[in-house]
Amino acid sequence: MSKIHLAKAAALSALFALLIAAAPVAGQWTALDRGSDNMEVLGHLPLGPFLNVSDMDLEQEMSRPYAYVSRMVWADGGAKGMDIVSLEDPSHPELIYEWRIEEQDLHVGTGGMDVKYFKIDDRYYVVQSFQFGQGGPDSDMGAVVLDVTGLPDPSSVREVARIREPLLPGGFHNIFVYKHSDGRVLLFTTVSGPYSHVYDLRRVVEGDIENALVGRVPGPDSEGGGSAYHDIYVGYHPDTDQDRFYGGGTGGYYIYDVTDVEDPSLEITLTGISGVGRGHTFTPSPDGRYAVAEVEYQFAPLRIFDLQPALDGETTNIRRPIAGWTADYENLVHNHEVRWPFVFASSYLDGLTVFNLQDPSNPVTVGYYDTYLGGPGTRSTIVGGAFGVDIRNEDGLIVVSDMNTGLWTFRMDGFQGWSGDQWGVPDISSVQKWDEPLRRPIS
Amino acid sequence: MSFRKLAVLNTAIVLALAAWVGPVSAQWTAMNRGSENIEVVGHLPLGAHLNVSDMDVEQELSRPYAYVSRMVWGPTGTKGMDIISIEDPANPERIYEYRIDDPDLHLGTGGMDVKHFKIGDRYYVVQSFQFRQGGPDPDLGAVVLDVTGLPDVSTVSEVGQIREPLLPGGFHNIFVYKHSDGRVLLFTTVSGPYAYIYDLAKVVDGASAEDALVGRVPVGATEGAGGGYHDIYVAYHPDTDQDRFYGGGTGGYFIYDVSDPSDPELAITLMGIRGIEYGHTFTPSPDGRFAVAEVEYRYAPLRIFDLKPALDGETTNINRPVSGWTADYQNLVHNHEVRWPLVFASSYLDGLTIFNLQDPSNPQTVGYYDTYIGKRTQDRCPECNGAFGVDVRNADGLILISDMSTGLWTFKMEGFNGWNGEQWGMPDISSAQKWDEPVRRPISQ
Repeated sequence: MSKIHLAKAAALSALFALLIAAAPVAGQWTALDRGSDNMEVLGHLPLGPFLNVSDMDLEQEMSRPYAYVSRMVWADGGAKGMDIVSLEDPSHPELIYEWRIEEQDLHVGTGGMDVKYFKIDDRYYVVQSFQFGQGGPDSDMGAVVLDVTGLPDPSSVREVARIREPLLPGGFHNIFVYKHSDGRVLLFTTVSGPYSHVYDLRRVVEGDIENALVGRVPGPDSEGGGSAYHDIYVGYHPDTDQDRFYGGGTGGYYIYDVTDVEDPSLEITLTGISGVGRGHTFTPSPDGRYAVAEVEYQFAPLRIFDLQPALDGETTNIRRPIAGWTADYENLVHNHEVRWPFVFASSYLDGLTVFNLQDPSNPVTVGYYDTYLGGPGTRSTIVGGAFGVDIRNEDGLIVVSDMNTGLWTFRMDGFQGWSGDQWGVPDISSVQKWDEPLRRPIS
Repeated sequence: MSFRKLAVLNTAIVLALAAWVGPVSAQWTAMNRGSENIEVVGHLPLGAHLNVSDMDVEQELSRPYAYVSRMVWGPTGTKGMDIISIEDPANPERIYEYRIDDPDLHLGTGGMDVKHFKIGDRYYVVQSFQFRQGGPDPDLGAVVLDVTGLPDVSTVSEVGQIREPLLPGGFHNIFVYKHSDGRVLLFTTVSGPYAYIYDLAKVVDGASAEDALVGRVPVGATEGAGGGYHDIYVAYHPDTDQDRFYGGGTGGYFIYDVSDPSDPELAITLMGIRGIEYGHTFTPSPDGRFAVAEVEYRYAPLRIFDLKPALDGETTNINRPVSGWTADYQNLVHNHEVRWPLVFASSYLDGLTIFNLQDPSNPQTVGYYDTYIGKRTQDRCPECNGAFGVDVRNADGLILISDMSTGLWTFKMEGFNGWNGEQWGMPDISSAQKWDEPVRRPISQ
């Protein structure tokens, strides 16, 4: 190569690098160049009508390459239920099973919202949350549990339970499945009431629904009767040897000790935060020191909190974030998955976004791909596009459920899997370890 | 082309691109603090760190004076107000310092907001104060000075004080409005669930605050409810032939008909807005259709509201903005002055920023200059440093910034040689009052 060619190549490379590095996410993608160079689109499976997909969950074992995608109707039409997608070949996701609520047209409300899989003994299950309004059937139904052990044979899928709460109609907006330190597999749910409910999933799958409710985590206004929580995360906290509940809801964010699920104990509050009237998703770092907190309105960034003053006993309330991050301040970042120091976010109109919290005071965008190029629907100025996100820790597969464009699979350069030990933090994430003996990782 | 020339050319392209792309926060550097269309005309440092607050500039070119409030937000400084001559805008000169007596005894921030006004042939300035209980003057809301004789500073004289013993804590923000009934009125925030309205002619004639008080604007729909206002703007609304009050405070933003100041009537509310529990600055477009709304916390953008559904009577409450704008979402935009379609903002850590609302749904940044390149304040309010106040002289387009830590700045922006609403197909209405003109009834387009 001549000197001139070398110079041209070097200058063009510099220009390109500068364009990638200098602008924010919103200024980077175009319809023809939708992602950062380090983000590879493996596969894409459109799933139907506009605004007809919600949250998702991904099995973690490589031998069980299944993703579960909730189907809600946010706009005018579509399915209400849940899809099972095979990722045996992540480049060619394949829809292998559709669970649909019966008599769909009679059901009022959005339908399938959140979904989580779990394992008890040798059997695999998936729990799909639902929200149906009064005036139609099943307004008391919070979730349906399916046995999916026999996948990929879809004929083996069977419904094993429905969880209903007649006194709290409106269903479960979000759910979280947690393998408790006492060995039980527990389902934490939001409800249309001033609590989070805790169900023992073994009892659910064994048919003992009546006795499955084993705990209730109070909301900030348990006497008030309103809906307390919007989203839930539960993680083991090594420093205190506690199972800890992280809930976002009325007034902000709340951390409870749920080691004894029958008697939750409030540990830390995050209230009185400017701009946060009602918390949404709230996820701690693996060691429980930091937390990523969402609030659900246009212009709101994710806020990063340092919980150390509360962990040290200096205060019980934290109200000032140490940092904020957003893909585009004019839009809204929705759900997120923490794989410290990375945070993978389904950023609605901005698609998949990834940022790094190695310096928690200075979040840095490290990757993105816009899964939806259109505008929001008529119902909201910000809701549309990437709704849910999940990560397969074993190999670093990134999966996004997009409200308008369906399921996407990605790989990010240099991210070939995640284990907390690799990063000097406890190996704790939303991923549960069904078969391992109870660990006590040290932070 | 030689290898060296090519490399130089490409480097130039790279540098140009670096200067062009990205948001405001990604653009300025310590060596290149502003956009190319902004000229720094003058700069006058005013003393201690975090010792400057709001400002006001007289609008007549024959009276080139700026008034700068002095609050103590940091560990030290003065409490009062400075008068700056900008006869030569390239060389601002401090010609007078008003200081509170016994400053060390006075608790609280001191001078907050300042506005000039004219009654008859005399010019005045009203400086708001906030002092706490435990020291002198917690009941002092404002001091009024006669500044007619400027630039002869020996003629400056204090002509009135406004005190509210039942509402200690002073006035955080004030607005002077020439009402359509001809009176010059002072609207103030108070430590209570109202904005107070004083007749300034009575104040300068020596009346007590009680005698000068001519009205109270409640917060929200319920008189006597809790809360209060943070900031105020008042303007004539041509379409309804009303004098309208625009207040930000507890619950959001409120628009009152104050044509009769003694009997304000709630016209429109902006409540239930996600992320807004306590409104701050709230300024309408000249025709009153759109409004720029601030809320005072880190990460909050300015929100742009279209008031048309309420103006058309379809609703009385607006709760969804049509757009948002910020200089850097990690920081906070503070005060602003609307010279439609331009909005001039004092954006704290991001300095002077200017955006265009010709398409209200898509605000566009059109200019900036960072007046403060220091670090965040770590102890009190990390985003509260840098550009605090902003004003624009309509006659020639001079832009002024009061910076909490670096003092007074004067700017010109290319292509902005002054402002008159009629040039933009709008009523000629802004925060600048027309003291000597008969009350106008401009017609919105």
